Amino acid sequence: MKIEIQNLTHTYGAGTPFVKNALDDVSITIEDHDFIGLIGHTGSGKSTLVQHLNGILKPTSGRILIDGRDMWDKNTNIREVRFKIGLVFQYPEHQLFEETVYRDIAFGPTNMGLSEEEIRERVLSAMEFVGLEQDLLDKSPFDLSGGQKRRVAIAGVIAMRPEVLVLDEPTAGLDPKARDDLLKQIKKYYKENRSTVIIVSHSMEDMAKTVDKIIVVKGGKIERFLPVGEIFADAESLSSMSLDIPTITKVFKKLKDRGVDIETNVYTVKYAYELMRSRLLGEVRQDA
Amino acid sequence: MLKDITLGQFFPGTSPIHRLDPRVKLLLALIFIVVLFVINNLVAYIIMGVLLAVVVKISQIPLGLVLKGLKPIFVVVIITAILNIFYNTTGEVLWEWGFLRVTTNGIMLGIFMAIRIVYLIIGVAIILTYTTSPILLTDAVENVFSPFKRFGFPAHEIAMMMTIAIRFIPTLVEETEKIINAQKARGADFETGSILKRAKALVPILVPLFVSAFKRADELAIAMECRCYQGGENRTRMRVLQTSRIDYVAIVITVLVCAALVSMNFMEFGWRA
Repeated sequence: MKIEIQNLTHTYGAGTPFVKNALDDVSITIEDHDFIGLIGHTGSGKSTLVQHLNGILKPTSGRILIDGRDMWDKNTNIREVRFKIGLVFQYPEHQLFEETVYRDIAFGPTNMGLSEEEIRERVLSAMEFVGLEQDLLDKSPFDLSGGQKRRVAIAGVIAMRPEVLVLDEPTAGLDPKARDDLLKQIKKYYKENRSTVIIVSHSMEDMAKTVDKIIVVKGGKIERFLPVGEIFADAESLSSMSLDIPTITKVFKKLKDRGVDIETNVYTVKYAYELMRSRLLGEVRQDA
Repeated sequence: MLKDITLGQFFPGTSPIHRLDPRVKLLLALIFIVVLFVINNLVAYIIMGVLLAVVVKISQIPLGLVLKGLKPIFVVVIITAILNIFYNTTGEVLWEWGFLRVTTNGIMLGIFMAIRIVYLIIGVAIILTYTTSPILLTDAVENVFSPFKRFGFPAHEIAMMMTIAIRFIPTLVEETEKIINAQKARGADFETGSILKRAKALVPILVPLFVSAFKRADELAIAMECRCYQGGENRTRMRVLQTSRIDYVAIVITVLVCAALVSMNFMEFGWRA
């Protein structure tokens, strides 16, 4: 599913003393099967941007085209759009309301008007997807731990099987293990369903090991839209936008500065490990 | 949509109305309310309307905001006016059907009640709360009620409750909006269907809202305990309320105007109820 954003501007509080331009003339095209990280400082307009993608917010001006069709055209059913483009909000566990985990996850599919069996099948597969045990089905979502609640909430969107999955800071407030698991599951969703995934995040480390392309937002404008490698290669301009590069990249840049002959396009610890290993082994072999 | 509710919000500014001592504003608002219901002729109401407009002008509140603040009570005003038309059955009969009777006096009463409510909202909900920060307002309430403390009246506690309640209105509105959006993203439909269906559609909003409100209250209580919060005994204030010349000027003007308006009640004018 291709999403084209054309000259999108969004103004909050028009007509009050608190007018604020959250997005300013943003144009961007998200291709089918893209895996995108959306990065920016607090208040840069990230959340405002993603809330336009499924019609939660209406553009003050500009257009959003889904496969070439205007989302706010009067022939487009906005609810249909929301089923196709699933949005997981920040702290989604705050939206849980049902008496059982099953019924909460089934809320989206039920609204889609699916049959009882179809709903059951989707709920179970969504739970499996986010790594929830089946014995939680009939528990109250309010009795679960924070990490489990988050999974239930995300499963509630995944159960709708959206073609585009948008997650607004899905890992905020999770412990390192839970956040790694979640990112892996999201990556799996991306691969298995051939869907488009967009993740909003603060964490460069998470982005480096998860997504393919990165959008940098600053002051309501798109500053960069590049593959991961090219984004981090330009560390100076990132820090001028008060954003950071992954720690492991910093280590390799410092090594280079000190005169070690080494490449600096290292963005994940895994790649760094492989690089060092092959280098060390290679050097050993040379010595022998 | 919820952000459109401006009633009861504070808009910072530096106008003379903003600078008045909040206790004085509270007192003047009280006088205003009493006089509003005492005066009984159209000429006095017109004069009062003009004066309210002048105060709005001085306070630098944009006219658009005043109208926006009045919008939500529009229905209430209309209903009150219509009910009051049938309430007074003296005077010349214009229309009669069964027990319903519309008379000239009834219509006047309806108009007066509509004017009173609109003025009340402009005077208190708009001029007072738009120009006074909630903190100052509760300080003023505590100050005004503190003499009653010796009779066991919990002035400080009430002021604290007011502060907390007011402080959390925007937070709850924001929270509600977030939850509505989150449920909309899951395909919730609040706009179509029968009344029963729409009422049911509110459950996914109200449950999370209550859960978070209770959680917030609990967290706030713990945070206050952690900082050893203890009622009002022997607490000093960072900002001590002080009256200045501008306050005396405001009091004198208001009292004179109100006295003049009330005295019109005893003169011969047409158009009264």
